[in-house]
Amino acid sequence: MIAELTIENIGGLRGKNKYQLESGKLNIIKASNAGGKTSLVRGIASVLSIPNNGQYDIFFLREAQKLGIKTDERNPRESLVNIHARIAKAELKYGETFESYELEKNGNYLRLPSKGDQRFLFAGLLSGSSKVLRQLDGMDEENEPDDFLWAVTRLSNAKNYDDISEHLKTSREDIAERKTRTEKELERISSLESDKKNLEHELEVIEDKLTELEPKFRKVSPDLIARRKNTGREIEKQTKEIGKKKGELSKSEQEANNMAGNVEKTKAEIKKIEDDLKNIDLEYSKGLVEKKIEEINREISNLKKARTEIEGKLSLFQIAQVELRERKDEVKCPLCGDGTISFNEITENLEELRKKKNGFNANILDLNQEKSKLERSFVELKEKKTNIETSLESRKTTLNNLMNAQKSKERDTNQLHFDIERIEKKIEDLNQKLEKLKQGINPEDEKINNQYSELEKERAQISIRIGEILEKLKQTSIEVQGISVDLKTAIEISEKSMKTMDHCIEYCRTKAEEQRRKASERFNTHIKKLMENLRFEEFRTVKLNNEYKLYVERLNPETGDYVFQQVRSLSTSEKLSVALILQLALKETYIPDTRFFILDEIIEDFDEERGKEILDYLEKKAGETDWFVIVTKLTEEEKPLYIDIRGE
Amino acid sequence: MNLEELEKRIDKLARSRTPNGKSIERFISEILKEIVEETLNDS
Repeated sequence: MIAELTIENIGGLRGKNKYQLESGKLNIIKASNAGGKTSLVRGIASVLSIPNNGQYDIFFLREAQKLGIKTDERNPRESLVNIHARIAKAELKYGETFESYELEKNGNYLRLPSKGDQRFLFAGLLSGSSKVLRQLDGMDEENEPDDFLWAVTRLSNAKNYDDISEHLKTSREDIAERKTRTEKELERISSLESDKKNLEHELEVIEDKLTELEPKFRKVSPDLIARRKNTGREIEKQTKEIGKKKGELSKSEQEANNMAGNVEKTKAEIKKIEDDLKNIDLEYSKGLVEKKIEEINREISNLKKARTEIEGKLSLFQIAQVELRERKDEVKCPLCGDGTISFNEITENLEELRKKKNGFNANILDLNQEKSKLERSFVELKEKKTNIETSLESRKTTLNNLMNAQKSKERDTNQLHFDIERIEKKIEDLNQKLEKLKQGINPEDEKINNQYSELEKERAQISIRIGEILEKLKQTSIEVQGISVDLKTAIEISEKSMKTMDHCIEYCRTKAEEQRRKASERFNTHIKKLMENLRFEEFRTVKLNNEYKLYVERLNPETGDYVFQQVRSLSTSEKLSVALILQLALKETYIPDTRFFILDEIIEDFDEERGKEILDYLEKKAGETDWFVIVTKLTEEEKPLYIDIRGE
Repeated sequence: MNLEELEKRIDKLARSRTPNGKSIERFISEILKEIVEETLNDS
């Protein structure tokens, strides 16, 4: 199958460039130094990896930036878009599939592919900047050379289960906290219930006494008693009313106090936020960051120039090496053109130049990392400022609402004070009336009358206290998920919720681990198959162990035995071989249906024989799987970038 | 709450390519609301 590839203004490839790729074949992108090979690879990788919402997740975004795929809006010179252009485009058309990615220099996208899979960045492309190679070289910021937990977590569904589990844990903590609060409230209420019960008992005793005294009291003066009793009842009613109002007043004053506290607290928060805002000088920070980045860019540019020079020399020696292998004698020195040079000298020179190139790569990587850090810190600062501003706005709105509520509460409180005063006056009048009524009674009757009055007074007081308790008990519901429920039900709901959360957390933990295990098993199976096919005889075993660490058994040339070898102590070429195996296994494990696999500037770093073996294997692999296998190759030909298609 | 059913819902959420914080929070909120309703219906 033919794939039509259009690359427009990406990296060094200016204008519209059309290419054809063929599935089931080895597509070798050939060009001289700075001929646009990596730009073309970045174009393909971007259209295959950018998600359909245009946003890489943070883990993938960092990788996209490292691979030069994601436009960095604050540093257009490093963007995917060609320096002289405003818009870049990558299009890929094969079979029924048409995917297009079009973006502006400032990072805004104009068109997005529909099936981009961000895992392609980690699983479908191997270049000198790829995570696998960075890690094996000990140059990854996040993982030790042998730590591949990220691969079985981030590229499988395990990460999703981990994320769900984290949210569940937070919710569970909130629920547990609510349960504790509710239990305390319930405890307080239980004591109120018990007080109410005691008061009700006391009330019963008083009622009994009153009933007992009633016949004697009735004889005192039926008319007087009737009027007195009515007045007494009215006093009792008004006293209850005043109790209720006082309860409401106490609640209202408490709420007003809380509101005043909240108003003060919010004012203090606003002041603190405003102070924080004053301390963030974005313009100043931007100036500093830009200055530093400019310095780093200059340094990178110098290093790249020096690396290009080394690469030029490397090419000359590689050509000389090929020439010498065919002629088996000495050739002219490729650098000076005078004198002759032997095969061994060329090999030594090549080794020396590769080391230098690796040194430059390492320095460039360090500088790029430093630059990313600076850029990240500036973005974080900017985000922090925006968050603070949003928070300030929200606090101001809260303050406004609080002050309005406070005013309304003050009105309610004043009304209650007024009502209480009015009822107190009424009670006073009633008491005076009662006193007058008492004057028409003789001493014996008065004694009975007093006894009766005392009991009635006591009854009224107890009734008030019961009324107050009932009022407090009414205020004891709690809102759970937007529904108001009583405290016991709230506790029951909390317990059920926590139990359910526990079950879900455990389920997510088990599933995440299961996903990791399965991914690791699949990964190891693919590695094993690749080892059989590639026949890298210096290794017997390459696999992930139970802790997802890379385990390598390497041939000891002195004893002829295979022994465990620390990843960090493998030689550069051995690391490259392991990286190739891992990259192919990642591809087959995580994105088996993606039809593209790319090696950028990798083949040249193997010695010629192994490079040829790998190309032969990739050609066979492409034929078996019908993948588009793409490799870049440096040539000395004086012609523009072209694609050489190899295979049956 | 049917735990088996719940596990299926978690699987569905985890299978969506990258469940973000909002979709997870929405899922948890739905579960908690169902627990409240179930408890109130039972009592």
